[in-house]
Amino acid sequence: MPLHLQKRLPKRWGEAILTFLVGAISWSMLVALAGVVGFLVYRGGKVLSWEFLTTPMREGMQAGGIAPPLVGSLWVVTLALLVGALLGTATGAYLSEFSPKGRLHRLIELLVNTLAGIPSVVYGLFGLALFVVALGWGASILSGALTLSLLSLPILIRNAQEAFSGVSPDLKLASIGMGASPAQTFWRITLRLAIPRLITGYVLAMGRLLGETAPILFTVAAYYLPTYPQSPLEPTMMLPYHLYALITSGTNVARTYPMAFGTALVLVGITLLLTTIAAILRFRLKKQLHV
Amino acid sequence: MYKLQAQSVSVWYGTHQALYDVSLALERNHILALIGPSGCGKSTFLRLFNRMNDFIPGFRLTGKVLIDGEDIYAPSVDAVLLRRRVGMVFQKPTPFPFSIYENVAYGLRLQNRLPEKLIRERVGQALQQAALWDEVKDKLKKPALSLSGGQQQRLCIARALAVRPSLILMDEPTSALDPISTAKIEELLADLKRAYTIVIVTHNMQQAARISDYTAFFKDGHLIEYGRTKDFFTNPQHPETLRYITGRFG
Amino acid sequence: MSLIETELLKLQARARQVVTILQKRLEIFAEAVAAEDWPRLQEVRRYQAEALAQDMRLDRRCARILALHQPVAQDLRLVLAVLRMHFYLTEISERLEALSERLVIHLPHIPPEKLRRVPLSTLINDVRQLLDSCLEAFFQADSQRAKRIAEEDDAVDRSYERCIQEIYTQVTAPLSYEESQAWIELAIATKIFERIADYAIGIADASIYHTEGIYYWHRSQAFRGKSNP
Repeated sequence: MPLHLQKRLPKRWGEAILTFLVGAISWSMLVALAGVVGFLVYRGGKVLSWEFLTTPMREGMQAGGIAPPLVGSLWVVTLALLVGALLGTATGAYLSEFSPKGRLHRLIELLVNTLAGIPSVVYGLFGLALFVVALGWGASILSGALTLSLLSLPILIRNAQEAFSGVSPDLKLASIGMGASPAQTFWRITLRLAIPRLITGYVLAMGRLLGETAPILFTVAAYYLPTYPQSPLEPTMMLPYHLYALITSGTNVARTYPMAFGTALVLVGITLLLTTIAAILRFRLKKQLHV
Repeated sequence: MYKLQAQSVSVWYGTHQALYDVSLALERNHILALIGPSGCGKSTFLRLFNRMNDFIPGFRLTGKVLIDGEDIYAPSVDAVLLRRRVGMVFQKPTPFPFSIYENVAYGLRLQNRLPEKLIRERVGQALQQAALWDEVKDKLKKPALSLSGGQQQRLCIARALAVRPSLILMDEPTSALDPISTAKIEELLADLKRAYTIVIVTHNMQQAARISDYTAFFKDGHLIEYGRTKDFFTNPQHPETLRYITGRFG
Repeated sequence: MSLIETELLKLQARARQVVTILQKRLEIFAEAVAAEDWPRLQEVRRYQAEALAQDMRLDRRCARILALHQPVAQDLRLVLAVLRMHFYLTEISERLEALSERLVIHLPHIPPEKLRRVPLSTLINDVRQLLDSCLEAFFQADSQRAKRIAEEDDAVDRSYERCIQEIYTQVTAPLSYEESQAWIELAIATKIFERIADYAIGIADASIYHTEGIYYWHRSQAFRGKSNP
């Protein structure tokens, strides 16, 4: 057999097998995802309706909708995101752009990394101890939002850091070369260019926060409160906790199960929606900045 | 008085010495070319004049660097203000993600509020001096990134010119461009010389020969030879210079 | 305009300066001969210092262009053609200077009515015209003209023949010592003028090299072996 053919045959087979395996794994992930969503649709799809989303529950959570937890979740998570985005972006900006890269910097990064690894239930306990008890706010939107914002901080800090670092250093140097101070360079160039990445990060964080159960357990979630919150110092129902309540402590399981799956479907739906929005936003904002 | 001067300047980055006792002076309205092999210290020397080396950790300087007779490393000197008087053009064209107009106006907007009419005038003048006006006058609001590479680099030059700096530093401004854009920029430099003083780092000896009035040859952090370009390339004094420009190493 | 175009224009301007000085010197020479004003021939020497300075400047400029601009193709050939033309012009100048010195001394010894029989002015003017044409062709970069000129340089040959025949006739008669010397110097002078015409053709040749990149006549041919003393 000619020499060049001798060498290529085994290689070609190896490549084909590898390509196939990798493709198979990717497709199986898609199948799994489709399976989960499909299962949810199958079990909970029948309860979905406009009424389900906009009316409160009746008959002790056996009928009606999930409007209160939906509204409650949106309030808490939005507030949490606002606080978290502000603090996280500022910290990220400091770490990436302004801090001299010495020991203090490394210490802060270590702390942020540690915070990222702490289980969410610990954040919940912390929120309970600080906001609910020590500050006396009790279980309230404020307590829950601030607890969630603490939870989101490590992610948002890292997201901001990477967004700012990802801005081409050539552009920053060009700005400095023009005689812009570091602050001017940050506002006019770095921040502007980082916005797509930042916003994507915020939207994705929102999606995650919506599903957090442990932190809201002690700080804001009410078991049964079929009204809408009037002030930030009131507790409110939350989607993840409602899901848990429907499955575990429902009185008529046969009727509440479908509602539970419906709630899960709503949660997944919102997450998917937010992820898609994030992707679209990123694409369009990037286009705006680069031609 | 000389426009710029270096007096026994030595530079360290931490323990590594990048420049050894360099002295030279340049009069205004001349072009100085800095040539030499990679890593010889020419970019370091260039960046001394707008204090861009300050950002590199471990940077240390002895000796004096003067612009218009003033020591620019004196404690009373604000580096940010200095950089507004000294323009810089980098190797890779770096237009900001704004419109063409806003790019050129960038430096003008950094300062105290200038009237919009004045900004418009300066932008127009800068674009004309950079030989870009005719190509962009109808699309000033278009994004700067829609321009070709050569046009982007001329935009960066216009951006530097808009603030009327007294000194312009260029770090290999044409090495990322095609030959036609390069030729256009070289002709542009010959014109700019009448109003500005320019220092240009280039790894292209022929470019140094074509456009500069004075040439300085650096090697391993030392200034080997400095002289009028026409003498430099017809009759260099130092044997190292001769070996470098005739392409005989090793 | 590109950098090198500017430099080449300056080079041609310098070359014209050198040419102008030579043409002036030839003009003085011709006028002196026509007016039979022999002392005036010495005025040719007066332009020597200026000519030398211009020569040096032209040379330096050529070196500078080659070193700083690395011209190629036609630009390179222009610089080389200018150097070649410069060489011929230098030769012509030197010959002219030497000639005028000797003729000043010797020509007064020939009786004017005998001298008038030699069509010297015609020869000189024919040579001048030929040189002017060749220089024009050079500066206009007109290779067609250059080729035509060289083909048709008979005028100089004929003038030369008539001069030399007349001289041959004159020297057969018995003459005084000084007059014999003078006729011999005159013969040499006409020969030198013929040589100057050959240099002019060399300039036309350089012009063809510049525009077309070919060597139209080999150098030995340019001097065409007509010159057998």
